[in-house]
Amino acid sequence: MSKSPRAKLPRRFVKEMAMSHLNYKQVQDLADGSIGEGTDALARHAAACPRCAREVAIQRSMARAAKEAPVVKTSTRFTRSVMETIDPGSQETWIFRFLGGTGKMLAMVVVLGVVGFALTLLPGSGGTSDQSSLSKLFSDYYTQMEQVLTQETGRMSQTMTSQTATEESKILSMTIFSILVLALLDRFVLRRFLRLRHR
Amino acid sequence: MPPGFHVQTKPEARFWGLRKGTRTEPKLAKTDQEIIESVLAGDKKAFSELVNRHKDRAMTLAVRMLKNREEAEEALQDAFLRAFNALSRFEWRSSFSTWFYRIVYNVCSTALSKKGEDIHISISDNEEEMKRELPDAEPGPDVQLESSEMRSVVVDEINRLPATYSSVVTMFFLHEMSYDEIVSVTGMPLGTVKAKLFRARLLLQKAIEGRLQENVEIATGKIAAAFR
Repeated sequence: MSKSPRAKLPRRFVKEMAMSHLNYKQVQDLADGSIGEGTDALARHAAACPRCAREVAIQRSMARAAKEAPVVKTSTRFTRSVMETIDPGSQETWIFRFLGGTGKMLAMVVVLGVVGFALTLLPGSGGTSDQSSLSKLFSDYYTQMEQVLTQETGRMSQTMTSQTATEESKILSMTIFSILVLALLDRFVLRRFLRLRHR
Repeated sequence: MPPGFHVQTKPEARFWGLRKGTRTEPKLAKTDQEIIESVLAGDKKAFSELVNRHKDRAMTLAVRMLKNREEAEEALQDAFLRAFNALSRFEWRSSFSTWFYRIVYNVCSTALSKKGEDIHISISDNEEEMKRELPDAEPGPDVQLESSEMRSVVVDEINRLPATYSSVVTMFFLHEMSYDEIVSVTGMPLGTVKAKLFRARLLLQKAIEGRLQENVEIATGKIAAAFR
């Protein structure tokens, strides 16, 4: 007896042919990999149906883009401001602590001194003739000092020229002598001492 | 041998002044647990390491919920202070990040409720919506799904979602949290979390396709105008 020409198809193929498209939940589960791909009827349908394949691809792409999205960074002072609230006064570096106390005082003194000195030098800045004579006095003093120093330097350089050769030979001989002394000390004293310590 | 007297046999050891057999071990980053133990032992400065480690991701969550950078930073600062004060009560039933994100979520929810927005709106499990088949409509224009434009559109649309949806999307995708962790952070039932995530992804997809379609139409219009 021959078989009926209309052989029955396997049940799973009938089910797949009856399915038109995936539902939204199935699309998302496929995109997340919750359903095993390549073995499940849904995955086979998604591979064969352009409509469903596109939906799954869009969901996957969206998920990937959301995962790779850049994080929003806080401001640069954020951690410092948090720590200042938690532990006040501990965030200052040494330089700020220095500036906070003695440094400020010193800076003030220096600034006041410079400003005060500058004010004394200004002619007719509310000062009397004594202030301008003071600056003249300073300039005369420095001029004289400069002349004296120039004279002394010239005299000393003449003296030094004649003494240079003698001094150089003295330095050289002292250096050689020191090296000899150190070498003898190392050879006869230090190493014997070490040998004794090793025993 | 007297102390401080090194027998240096290798040239490199002699050069660096190292003892024979000395090795420098690389410094490994401390775990969250180690940092917390240091803080609880009295080293408050160690908390800054914890702040630096978690601040950016938490900031992303806060910005996506509050939609405002300054408010988000304020809320995050408040969250870190609360976390610091509650550190002694942290029992390690979950990871530190999950516990901390719960604090951030609660602080942001409070801020939103003060502005009149209720994040804890309940939605039905919408089983019917989930089981609805895709329509037979013609697929849209072939868009480049991997382009950087797609990425910027996705980020933009996530930021536009209501806080109740953008928060779960951020936790699920960016923080890669499981459903149970999201339940732990938000305090919502599992079914609600799944429903919100499903709805959020659907809204996101529709918004993205709309944006991309718009861009295609604009580009087409420009090309047509150029040829007139």
